[in-house]
Amino acid sequence: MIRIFKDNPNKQIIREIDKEYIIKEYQHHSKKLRYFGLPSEGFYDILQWNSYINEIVAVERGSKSEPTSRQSLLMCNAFQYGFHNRLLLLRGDINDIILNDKDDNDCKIPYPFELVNLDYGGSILYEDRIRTRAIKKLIQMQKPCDFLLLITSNVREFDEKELLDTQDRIKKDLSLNKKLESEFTAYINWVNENKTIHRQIIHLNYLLKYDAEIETYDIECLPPIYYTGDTNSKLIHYISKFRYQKNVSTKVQSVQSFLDLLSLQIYEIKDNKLKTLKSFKDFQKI
Amino acid sequence: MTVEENFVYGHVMDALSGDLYHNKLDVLREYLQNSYDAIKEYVFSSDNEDIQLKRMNTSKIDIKIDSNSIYIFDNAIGMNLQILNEYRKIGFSRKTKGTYAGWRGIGKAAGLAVAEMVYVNTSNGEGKGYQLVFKAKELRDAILNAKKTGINLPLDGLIKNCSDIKEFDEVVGNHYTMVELHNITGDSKELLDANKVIAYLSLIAPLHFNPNFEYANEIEEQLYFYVEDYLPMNLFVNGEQVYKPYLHEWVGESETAKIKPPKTKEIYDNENNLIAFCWFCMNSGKGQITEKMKIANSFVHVKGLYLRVHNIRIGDEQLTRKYLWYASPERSFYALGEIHVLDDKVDPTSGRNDFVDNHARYQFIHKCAPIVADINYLAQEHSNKLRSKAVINKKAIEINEIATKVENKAIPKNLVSEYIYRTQDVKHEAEKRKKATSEKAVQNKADNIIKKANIVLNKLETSLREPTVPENKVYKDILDEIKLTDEAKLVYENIINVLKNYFVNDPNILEEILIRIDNALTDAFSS
Repeated sequence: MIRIFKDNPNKQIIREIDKEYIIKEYQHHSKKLRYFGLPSEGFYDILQWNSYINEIVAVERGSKSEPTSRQSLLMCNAFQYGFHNRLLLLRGDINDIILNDKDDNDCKIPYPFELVNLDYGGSILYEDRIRTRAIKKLIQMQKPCDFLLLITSNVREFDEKELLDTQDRIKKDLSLNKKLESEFTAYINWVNENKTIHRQIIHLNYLLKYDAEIETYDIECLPPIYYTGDTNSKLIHYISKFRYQKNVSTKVQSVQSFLDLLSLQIYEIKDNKLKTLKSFKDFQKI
Repeated sequence: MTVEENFVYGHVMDALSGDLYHNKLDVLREYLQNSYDAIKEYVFSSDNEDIQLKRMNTSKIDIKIDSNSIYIFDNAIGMNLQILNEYRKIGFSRKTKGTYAGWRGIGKAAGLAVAEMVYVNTSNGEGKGYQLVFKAKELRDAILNAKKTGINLPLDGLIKNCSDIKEFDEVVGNHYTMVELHNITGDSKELLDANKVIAYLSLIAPLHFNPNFEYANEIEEQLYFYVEDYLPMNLFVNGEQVYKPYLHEWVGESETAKIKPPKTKEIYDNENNLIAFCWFCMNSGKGQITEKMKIANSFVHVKGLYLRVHNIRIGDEQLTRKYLWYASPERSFYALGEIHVLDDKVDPTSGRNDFVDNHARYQFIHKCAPIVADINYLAQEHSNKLRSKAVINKKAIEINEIATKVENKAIPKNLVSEYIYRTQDVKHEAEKRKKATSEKAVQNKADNIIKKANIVLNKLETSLREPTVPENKVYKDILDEIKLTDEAKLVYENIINVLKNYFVNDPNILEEILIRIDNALTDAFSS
C-alpha cells in the first residue's frame, strides 16, 4: 500500500480559512495566482482553491527508496483532476530545490509566485536549519512580487539550539529598547518554561519578519492555527502576507511591530471549531 | 523427476522493445494503441447507445511531455490487479485479434527501451488503485552485463526482479490508466519534443478530422457507416488537441494546395464481404500533391493513400504506392486519403510498417485494383482538363495576335497562306479541346476562339484574292507610245512579268521600277 486517499477534516477547515486570504490576494493582484509549493497528495488544497489559481508548480520528493514512484502518482492525480496542463512537477527535496534553484532534473523554479504553500510534514527546526535557509532564499527570489505565504509545520522540536539562538538574536535586536527587552525576556521565560507552541511561533514569525524586511517587504503575520493532523501529529499553520516596498533601499519597518507579534492571537482547531489559545497576556493576567 | 527449464531469455527483450522500433516515436504508438483499445472496451461495454455516445464524447487520451518524462493518460476502463499483473507478461494478451488494435502483448514492452523507469498507474473504479513499477534501466543493464560475460539470464527472473506492483486506495468510480516513461534515454530524446510528437501522432493515431476540414463530416459519416467500431479519439498533447492532418486547402512550403471533394470506394472479397473502405480526394492543382502540411511547426507529407487497421496507420504513403500501383506509380500521389482495412486476416506486422505476407494480403491487394483504376482515371481526366485549359488559353492568345495583325493589314501577302494555315490550326485545336472537356468555361473560350478564327480566315482569304498591283497601268501605255517589233514586245512583256512576279508583295517598288523603265524607254525611242 503506498497511499491513502483520506482527507483530514481539520485540514479542510484550515484550507477554508486560507481560502479567504487567497481570495484577498487574488483581488490584490487582479489575476489568478501562480502557486508554488507542496500540495497535498490528493491535490485537496488546489481543488479547494482552484478558482483562484492558474499555474501550479508543485514539488514532490517521493520516498527515499523509490523517489519517482510517488511523483508518478501525483501526476496521475493531476490528470484525473484536469490540472496536468497547468502543472509543472519539480522533483526532489523542496529545500534543496529552493537553495540550488533547480530540481533533481535541473529544472529551474519559474519565480515569482503569488501564492506559496509550504505544507511540510515535519518540523521547521532541523539541525542543519535547511528549511529556514530555504525560506530566506525563497523570499529573496520572490522580489518584487507581493505574495501570500502559507507554512504548515510539525511542532516536534529537533533543534532546541536553533530556538535558543533565535531568542538570543531577538534579545540582541531589542537591547536598545529596555522596556521591550524586558517584556520579551518575560515572554521567553514563559514559553521556555511551559514549552508552549508559542516559542516555535515567535521563532518562525520573527525569522520571517526579519528576512522579509531585509528584502524590503512589509510583512503581516496572521494568527497561526494549531491543529491535529493525520496520525495524531500536532501541527501549526502560519499565514503571512508579503508586500514589496519598491522605494525602500534599506530594511523595511513593517506596520506590524515585533510587539504585535508577541501579542498575536493563536487559534486552535478543536472539535471542528476554531478556538483561541491562551496567550502570554492571558498568562500575565493570571 | 521433473527439471524446471527456462525457454525464454533476456535478449528477447532487446528484440521486442528496442529493435522493433526504428523510429523511437513508434513507442508512443504502442501505448496509444493500448489506451485506444481500453477506450473502445469502455465505450462498447454498454449496450445503451446513449451511454455509448456519452462515453465516446468524454473519453480522451492526454499526453503530457515534460523535461524528462512522458505521461500517457486515458480515462478508460482501467485495470484490476490481475490484468495489471498480466501487463508484466510479455507476449501475453487477452485481447482478441480483429476486435482490438493490439493483440500480441508485446507493445507494452516498448517503453522499456527508452526510459529509466516505467510506471503504469491504474484503477478500474472499484476503489483500489495499482502501480506497476518497471525498473527499465536496471533490466537493460542486467541484460547488457550478462551479454558481456556470456551469461544467459532467464527472462522470467529478470522481469520479477525488476518490477513490482503496489496497491493504494482510490476513490470509487475513478477509472483510468496512466503510463509514465520516466527519464527518457539520451538516444530517444525526440520523444520529448512535443512538436514532433504532435506531427507524428496526427499521422498515425485514430483521431478526429480537423473541424476546419470542409469534407470532415462527409467522410466521417461514411466511416461510421462502413467501418465497424469506428471510434475517433480525443487526443491531447500538452493540452493541444491533435487531429488527422487533412484540410481542403492549406499553405504549404511554397504555395497553397487544394483538394477536390471526397470520393469513396468499398472493396468486397469473393464472398461479398466488405474487406476495405477507401476515401480519397484528388488534387485540385496540377499533377501530384507536392505541398506538405504544417503541423506543430513541422511540415509533413499528406499525399497518397494511407492504410489503416482499426484506424491506426500501417506503413507510410509508399506502402500503397508499392502494393497497389503496378504501372504509373506517380499517379498514387495525385490523391490523398485512407484505406481502412476491414479484413482481420490481413495482419499488420509487429512493427506496423507493413502487412504479414499471406494469402489475405495478396487478395486484398488484388481487390483494391478498382481504387487504383478510379484514381488513375480521375488523374488522367484531370490532366486532360488542365491540359485543355492551358492549350485553350494559349490558343486564345495566338488568335488574338493574328486578328490584330489582320486588322492592321500587317501580314505580308507572301505570308498570308502561312497565317491561314496557323489560323486553321488554332481553330482545329479549339474544336478538339471543346469536345474533350466538360468544363463550361473552357468550352465557351473554345467557342470564342472558333468564332474569331472564322472571321480571321475569311479576311485572310479575301486579302489573298485582292490584286496587289494595278493592272495595265505602266507597260501598256508605253507599248502604245513606242513602236516595238513583235520580238521586242515579247521580250519586254516577259521582263515585266518576271518583275511583277518578283515584286508581287512590293507593289510600290514594282511601280517605281516600271515607271523608271517607262521613262527610259520613252526617252530612248521617242527621240
